[in-house]
Amino acid sequence: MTLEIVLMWIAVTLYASSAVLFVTAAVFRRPTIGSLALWSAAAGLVPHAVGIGVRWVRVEHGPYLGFYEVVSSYAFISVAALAFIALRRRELAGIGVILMPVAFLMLGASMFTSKAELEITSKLASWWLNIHVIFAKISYGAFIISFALALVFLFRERATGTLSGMLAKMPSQDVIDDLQFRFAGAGFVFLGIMIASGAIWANEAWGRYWAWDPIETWSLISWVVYALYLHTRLTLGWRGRRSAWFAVLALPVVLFSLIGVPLVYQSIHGAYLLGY
Amino acid sequence: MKHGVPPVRRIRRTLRSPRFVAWLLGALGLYLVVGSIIPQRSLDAAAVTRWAGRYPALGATFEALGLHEAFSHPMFLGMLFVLTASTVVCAWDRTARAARIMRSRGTVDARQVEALRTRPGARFEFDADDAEARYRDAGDALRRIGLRVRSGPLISEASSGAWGLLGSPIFHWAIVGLLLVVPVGALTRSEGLIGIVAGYEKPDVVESYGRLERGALHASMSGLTIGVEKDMPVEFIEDGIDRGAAPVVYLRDGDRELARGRVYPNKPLHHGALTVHISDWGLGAVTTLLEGDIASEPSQVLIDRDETSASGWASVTETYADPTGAEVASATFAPEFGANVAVRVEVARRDGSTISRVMGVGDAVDLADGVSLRIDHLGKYARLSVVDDWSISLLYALLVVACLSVGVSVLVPYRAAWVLLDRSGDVPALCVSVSHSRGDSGFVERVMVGVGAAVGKEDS
Repeated sequence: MTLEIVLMWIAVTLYASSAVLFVTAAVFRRPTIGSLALWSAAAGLVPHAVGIGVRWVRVEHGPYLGFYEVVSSYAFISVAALAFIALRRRELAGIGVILMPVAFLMLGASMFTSKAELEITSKLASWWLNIHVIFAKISYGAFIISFALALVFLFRERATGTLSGMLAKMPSQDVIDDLQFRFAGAGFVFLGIMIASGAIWANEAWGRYWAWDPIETWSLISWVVYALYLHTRLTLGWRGRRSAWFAVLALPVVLFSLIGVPLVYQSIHGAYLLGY
Repeated sequence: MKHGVPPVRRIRRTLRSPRFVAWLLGALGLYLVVGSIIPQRSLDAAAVTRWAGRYPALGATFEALGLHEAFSHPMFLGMLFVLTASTVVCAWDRTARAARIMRSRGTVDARQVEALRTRPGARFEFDADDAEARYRDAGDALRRIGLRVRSGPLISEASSGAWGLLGSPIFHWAIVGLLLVVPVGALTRSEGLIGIVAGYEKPDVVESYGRLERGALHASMSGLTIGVEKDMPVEFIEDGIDRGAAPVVYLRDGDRELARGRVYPNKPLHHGALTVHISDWGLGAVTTLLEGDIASEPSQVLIDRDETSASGWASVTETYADPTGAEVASATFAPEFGANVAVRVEVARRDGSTISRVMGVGDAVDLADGVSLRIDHLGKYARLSVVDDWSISLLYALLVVACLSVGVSVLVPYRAAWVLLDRSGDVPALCVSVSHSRGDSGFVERVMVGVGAAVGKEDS
């Protein structure tokens, strides 16, 4: 077992612990356990980052070629997003109850996939690819936070009794509602930059900025879905529950376009996830 | 007597209706999903055939509906047209609103004063002797929140920068620009594959292209000369990455060279609206027809790879005509791999005789009485993709503007607040009103709490 794999399994273990601790903290309303959960997540980031870095140096490219690299990096972004938001607003750290199980499942699943080292080809060797990938990951980070905040909103709205005490330290519903919108809005902007940089890259690599390749189409679908989200909120006044449901249902579309499309469609983009 | 709403106004009302736009965006999203599920001929024609074989009934239906060309289907184009019209109306309305607000910044009319007095967001009452000081404190509180405050003796107006106001209209105009430039660019675009033997040139005219797609409104080919330098590596290594065939390509207008560069994926040659990419490479021969002492213009023969043939290369047949246009012979070229660079030429003459010969540079073969074919050069050729599209730079610019403006609109929205020192009651009061273009209740709360704390009063 290589150092990279050992580090990754340590990260999986710490993320799993964090997920369990977050759920325990929420159910039993123990802030101390919540802190432990956050520290466990933060501790998991270290081996995860080092593992990604070790592989990066060895394969001479970032974590964007092959299912293992791509999904593992999205798991990393999920935890990094939690760390970011917990640093900025400690009272929002409770969204770890949603983010950490997601991150654990993603990283865990990626560990059972092929770890073949795909090489950077001539078509992939572009700075635009870096910009494209960076903004794909940042937009995913923004959307997953928006998703988690929306779930918290919906959960708190319906919960009663013991359940209502869960996540009690989180800010008011109005604040959660506005934050989930802001993160979705930021994600929409970053997704737009991802699509734009992808179009520029495609034009430089293939001579066509848009070819209706399935992954291009699904990126546009994701953008249209979030455009609809923003539109319904800003002009139709969909706030609170409706807006939260929209944010929850929109994330799978983004996940499908980032990870699922190359698995389902034969696409020129399949190379980045599957290596064909 | 009741009058109906004029059709133009009714259309405009529909186009600006948020509900209609929501349905339109939803329909567009669903259509894109359908378009991604059904195989598209432009992407993979073989997949369309396979799909039709697997689902015969559905295949026939979708074929009849034209859904295998979903992204050029009239239904899709119609949706985009309506979306464009709707975005124009929305952009216009937002621009007018932004202009109105910008014009009125720093001024408050009597109606607004009355609204502020009678329907404030919050009202703070004071003792008469320190009202002015509290009014000034309220202005300071608004500055601390990050707003620019313009104060008069009785009323203060505070707002964020103009960018927040302009973000949404600019974004909508950029989307309009994209929705217009993309189809116009496609209609005026040309894209073709041109094969040029290394060390030779071809003019950028229709006849030079093996495959050429021209938009309905594409004006004319550039007429420039496209050349490929003789030295053409087929495994060009840069930064440790095999870039494949990487010819040095140049463009010239007469004797004036316009652009030159080594071309490989992610490093095309740009000149104005022209972009030259490398598509592939193959083997090439340059031939000349000789009639007595007269030599024709050299002609380029291009030989592509063919995985199904024993040699791995296809053969190419060229026909030759006399000055009257009558065919005199045909010659089939195939690479001959041996000690020397050579090509096997099989000539079929008009009189029915044939000849097969392995030829090197300088060799000639008779095609007809007094007409012979000479090999001038054997080597590699570069298959270049040449795109003539003026819209690409404009598209990039519009994408940048759209991304920046929507970022400003969503993340730095326009915010404004007004504070009125109201002396009309028994005791003076500060009437506060807040506006946030995104309707952020958190901002309203921050202003109220900030102003309340600054003046030492709770919201009354």
